[in-house]
Amino acid sequence: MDNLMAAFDMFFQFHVVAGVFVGVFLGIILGSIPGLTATMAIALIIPMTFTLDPVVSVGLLVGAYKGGNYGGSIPAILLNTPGTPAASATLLDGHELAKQGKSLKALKMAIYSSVMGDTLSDLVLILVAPPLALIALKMGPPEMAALIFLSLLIITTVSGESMIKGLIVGAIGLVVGTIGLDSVTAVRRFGFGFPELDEGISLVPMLIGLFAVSEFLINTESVGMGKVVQFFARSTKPEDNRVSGKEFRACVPPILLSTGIGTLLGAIPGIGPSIAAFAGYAQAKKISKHPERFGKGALEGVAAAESGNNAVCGANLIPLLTLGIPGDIGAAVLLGAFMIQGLHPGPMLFQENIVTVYAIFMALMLANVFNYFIGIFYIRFASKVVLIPKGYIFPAVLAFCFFGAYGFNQSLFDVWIVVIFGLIGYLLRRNGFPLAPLLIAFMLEPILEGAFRQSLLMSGGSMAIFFTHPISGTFLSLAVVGIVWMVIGGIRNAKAKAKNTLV
Amino acid sequence: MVKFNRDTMAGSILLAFSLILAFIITPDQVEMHRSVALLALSPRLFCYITAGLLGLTSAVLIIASLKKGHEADAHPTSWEPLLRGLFCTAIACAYAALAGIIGFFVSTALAMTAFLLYFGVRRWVGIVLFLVVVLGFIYVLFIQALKVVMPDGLLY
Repeated sequence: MDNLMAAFDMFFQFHVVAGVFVGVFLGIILGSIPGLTATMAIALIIPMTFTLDPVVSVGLLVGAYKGGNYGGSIPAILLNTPGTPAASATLLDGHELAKQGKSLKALKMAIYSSVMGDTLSDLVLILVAPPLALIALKMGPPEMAALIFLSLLIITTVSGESMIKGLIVGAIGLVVGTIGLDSVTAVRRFGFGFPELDEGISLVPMLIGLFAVSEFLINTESVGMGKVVQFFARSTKPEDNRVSGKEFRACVPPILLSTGIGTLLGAIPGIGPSIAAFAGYAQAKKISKHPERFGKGALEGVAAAESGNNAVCGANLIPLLTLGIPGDIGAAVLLGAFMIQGLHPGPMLFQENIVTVYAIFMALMLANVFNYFIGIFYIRFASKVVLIPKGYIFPAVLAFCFFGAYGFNQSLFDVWIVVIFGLIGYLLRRNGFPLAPLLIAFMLEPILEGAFRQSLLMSGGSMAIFFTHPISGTFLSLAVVGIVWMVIGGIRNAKAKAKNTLV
Repeated sequence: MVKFNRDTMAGSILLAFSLILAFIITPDQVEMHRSVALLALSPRLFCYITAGLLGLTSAVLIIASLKKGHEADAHPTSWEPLLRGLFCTAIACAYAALAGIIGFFVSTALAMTAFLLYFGVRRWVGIVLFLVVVLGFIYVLFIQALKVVMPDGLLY
């Protein structure tokens, strides 16, 4: 109770509340601009948080994360272009409603369902995280190594279209993670004569390069190829511009179902909001009395997609806060922000910084309130913002990337890290490699390597320790089962494809 | 007949990199203490494991892509978008290099002007207004608020 009161004192200060407000505001605006994802929004905001208190900083970033996730639905509905990949399912019905002149109704339903999904998911996080952290405290190095191995396996295999490409970028992330002084012997690894590399690749310049600069470079390809944007006029009938009580009540079951699915999937590392949105949408269609309306402007479709993708936000923080394992790119970027502020997510966070954890929970809940009010206010002007030409946005984004990366350590070396990882990210994305496993593997490498080597030291060099400890043995068995299952699935898919080709 | 596609090329490059990493870069760049008798204490252990993992997965990608090599022909690769991306990377490199020589703000102004022109912005009034607003905001945020010390350049 004392901790809770201390958290209240820490959180309810003007600059903390203002931080959450600004984060949500920037997140919604940046997320609503096609091409600027929620992750990119956080990457651009991180450099502004160097000098802030941890709670203000995390509140700002959590707000941006949530605001960005909702913001993506706005261009999906208005322009048929998802602002973030997570909003892809929203456009199926959202844009159809806009075509019928009901864009305001769709945008309002999107914000209601986003906030509901987000809030319920946050409540699950608040209830589940503390007891889970207590269990996680009992894990030793072999269990930790096996858990990270299993998590990385899941993340790398489900985050892209190709399982093998996910594994490759995961391996690249681990390779990049080995750069810097060895934690056991203090031997320099892959220094290439640059003392700046002794502490390893800096996280902030790397993620700015991977996610913001690569996005910039991808967009430079399509200059002059932009599709013609068409706005559909809003209906003047009041009933087309609001969500009636009857319509809202009809949307409650799909919202609850989709939130449940999003929360469950979000708690599993690697399954991002896009998958949750489509899974929620598909299930909502199944339980609907009018499934034939889905894809033709069903309000339940918008509600299911938005509640599903936003429910991932809170649930994603369960593995992050309790185990230190980020569930998706957004959570990985948040992990980076935590570390910059000297907070190390994992079971010890609940022991050493419980007041801060409670304050973060409060920030999550307050972000939902701000998300609602800012969203309701913003949708009236959104049509102006989403049409800002890319020609103006992207040069400014690049300038912010460079200044932000430089400002982190005040080192030009970091600016080159941005350029190099921007190019790496660009080339990987062009060839269909997902970037999330690279970042997450890079961030988990020190923990994995430390736990792995500690386990070997404990066992005198025997790998049997990973199989003789019951928990680590279970994790590794699950990993083996997963690999076998994926290989069999891959072979079946290949055979089915070959059969279809022959037919 | 074996046909190569983009995945085959990507897999080959990554496989070659993993081999170079394991056999040339790691022995050259990671010192091995003679006193380290236990494998777990070796600073090279994880470097070899990760290089091996990268090599193995790259080999699987090559095999998988060779099996479906015929599918790639249906989607011929256009080099023009890639060249555009690489051209803009070159401008970004010049921007990074000039930041330390002529100063961050002047190089930012030059790079942003180049990119605005590249993205099709032709109105000079728009360009000048944009530069003033963006550079002004950056100055207030990074120099005044965050107290970032910019590198000394010939200009600013």
